[in-house]
Amino acid sequence: MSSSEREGFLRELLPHLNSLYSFARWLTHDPDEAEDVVHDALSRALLNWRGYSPGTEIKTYLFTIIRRTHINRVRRGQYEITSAGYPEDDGNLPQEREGGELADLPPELLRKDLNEALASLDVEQRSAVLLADVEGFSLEEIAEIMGIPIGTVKSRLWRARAALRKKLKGYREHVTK
Amino acid sequence: MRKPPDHTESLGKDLETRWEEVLRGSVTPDEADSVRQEAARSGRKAQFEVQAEVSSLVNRLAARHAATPELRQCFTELLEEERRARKKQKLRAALAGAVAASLVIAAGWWSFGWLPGSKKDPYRIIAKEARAAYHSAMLGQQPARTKNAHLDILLAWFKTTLRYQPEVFFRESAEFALEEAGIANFSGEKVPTILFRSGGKPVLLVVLPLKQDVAWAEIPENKWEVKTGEDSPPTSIWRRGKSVYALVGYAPPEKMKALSLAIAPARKNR
Repeated sequence: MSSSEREGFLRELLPHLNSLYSFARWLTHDPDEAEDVVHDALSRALLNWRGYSPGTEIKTYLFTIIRRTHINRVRRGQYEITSAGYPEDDGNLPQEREGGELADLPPELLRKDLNEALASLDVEQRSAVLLADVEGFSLEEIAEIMGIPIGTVKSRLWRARAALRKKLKGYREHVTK
Repeated sequence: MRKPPDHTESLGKDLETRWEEVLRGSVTPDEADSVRQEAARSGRKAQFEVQAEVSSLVNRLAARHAATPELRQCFTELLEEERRARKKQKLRAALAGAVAASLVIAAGWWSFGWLPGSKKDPYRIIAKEARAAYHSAMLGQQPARTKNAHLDILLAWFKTTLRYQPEVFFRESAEFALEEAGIANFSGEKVPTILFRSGGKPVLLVVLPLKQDVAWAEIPENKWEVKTGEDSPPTSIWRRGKSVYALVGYAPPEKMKALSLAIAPARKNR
């Protein structure tokens, strides 16, 4: 890779660094391991420029290598997932929109339970939901990132959301009583 | 937001796929209404509503994290180094009056290039390639390598792998420990490398046959030259007989010299 190509690649990846790290935190449940995953993945991408095809959405490519790096590290036994507790927010709270019964509940309570429910999903379902609903990827892009058919993405996504709703079912019952 | 597809693109997609497009906001308002109506008629309205509700909740409330300062600093600094390297290249091209031909493998390499009509400095070329071999070894990316603390075993491995043994005479040292042998690509040729360690610091020896470049015959024998550069490990280069040796690493200079003498003792000039 020439110096100008490396510079271009680094310039394009920096705006996505927060999203990449956040995704890695959700995969690993560990801030140190998430940092290692991101560092490992991006360092290898800089060395192995041939892996990136010009014309591919850079964000899709970056999330693909983050996920692959995480899987490889788990397979090599470089770390174990010791806790399924959700990675607590750093305080960058998204704007809340109005609407829906669940939105009437104390946001802190709902946020905590939603995130715990997300953390309790298996990693494949959790990845699908995060890629779709946090990062805004299309089904085709998620299929590329996860290396699975689009039909499998759809079924994982729909099952994951149904499971999350079920875990939060108690709220609806509380509201309607 | 992505450009919404025209109506014909939605034909053939199942309702779930189109519902996802509505959730992503990647369809026109008319198309979104059409999908909602179809979902309502499908008898699975409640399921689709759950999908939309949970998708919205996750988007609003899922924990998000900023990259650690260390991570951001690492890649920001890398970008700055690449920018500096590119500016240096432009300056060299302007000074030389020609397009710069040298490849920057990693930021911080020290190189002034060469002016048309002048001879290439062999020490500079050897240092540049030897440092590339050092970095390749540190990343574990050499084409082949073997770990052993005995020189005889390493030399035998070279004979099997390269079909010749480099002239290396190092035996024992209180300061340096043998760690492994490897193969490096040096201007397209495979050359032997040996990794030592001193006080935990790696030092890589690269042995080059003299026949690889006729310019190297001009390197005086037994003269020890050290090349240093910004952000790159010091490289000691010397010739002995039919081999040129490059030692790359951050060990103290006096130890590096002692190691070089142990590897290839000085010969009397003819």
